[in-house]
Amino acid sequence: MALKIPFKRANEGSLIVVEGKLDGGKLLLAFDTGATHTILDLTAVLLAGYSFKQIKRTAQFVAASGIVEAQIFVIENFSAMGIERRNFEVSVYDFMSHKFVLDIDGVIGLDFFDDEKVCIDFEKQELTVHL
Amino acid sequence: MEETALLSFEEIKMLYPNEWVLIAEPEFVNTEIQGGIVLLHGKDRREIAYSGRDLVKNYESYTLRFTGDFPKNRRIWL
Repeated sequence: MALKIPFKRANEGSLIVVEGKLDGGKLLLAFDTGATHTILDLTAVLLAGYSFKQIKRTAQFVAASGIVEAQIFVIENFSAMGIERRNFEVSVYDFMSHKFVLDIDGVIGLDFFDDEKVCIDFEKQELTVHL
Repeated sequence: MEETALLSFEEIKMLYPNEWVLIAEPEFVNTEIQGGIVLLHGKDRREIAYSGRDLVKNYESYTLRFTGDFPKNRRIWL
């Protein structure tokens, strides 16, 4: 089955943004083939009812601003682009307190994809996910 | 706690300019929010997250969005 997901890049400063779902929370997520792992903003994770007690471990990331430390949580239900993951490990970072202010709640990285085939059509501004 | 009727996002922006707004049953067209039910609003995103944790349990879905403008034409390197 092929799922087509339109995206809109209004200008050269626009990311490819897709909808995601963290339990009941609807998120806006940047689709980022340059990220090895999925990263969510801490606020979105706290709002979904997770607490600091549920941090599994910490991990270091190489970001544009240097090496940063993120907390790893196991998310019960996480989905985006027609793909559902249960008990999915995500990295959580406090975007706001690090002055990372964008209208997104996180980044979908390569670890979110398993055997799916994903095509990016920039001309049509469309992602196609072959599930 | 505040809860209002279904509002368009344009109405929400006018009522709560430059604030974070916790919206229940949000409706999106692609990734653009169209509206929903305002549960909480304020300047402190983290405070809304803590205060809203119990409120969102009563709804199928929710989202936390900012009503102000983000800088345009900013180049992004994540």
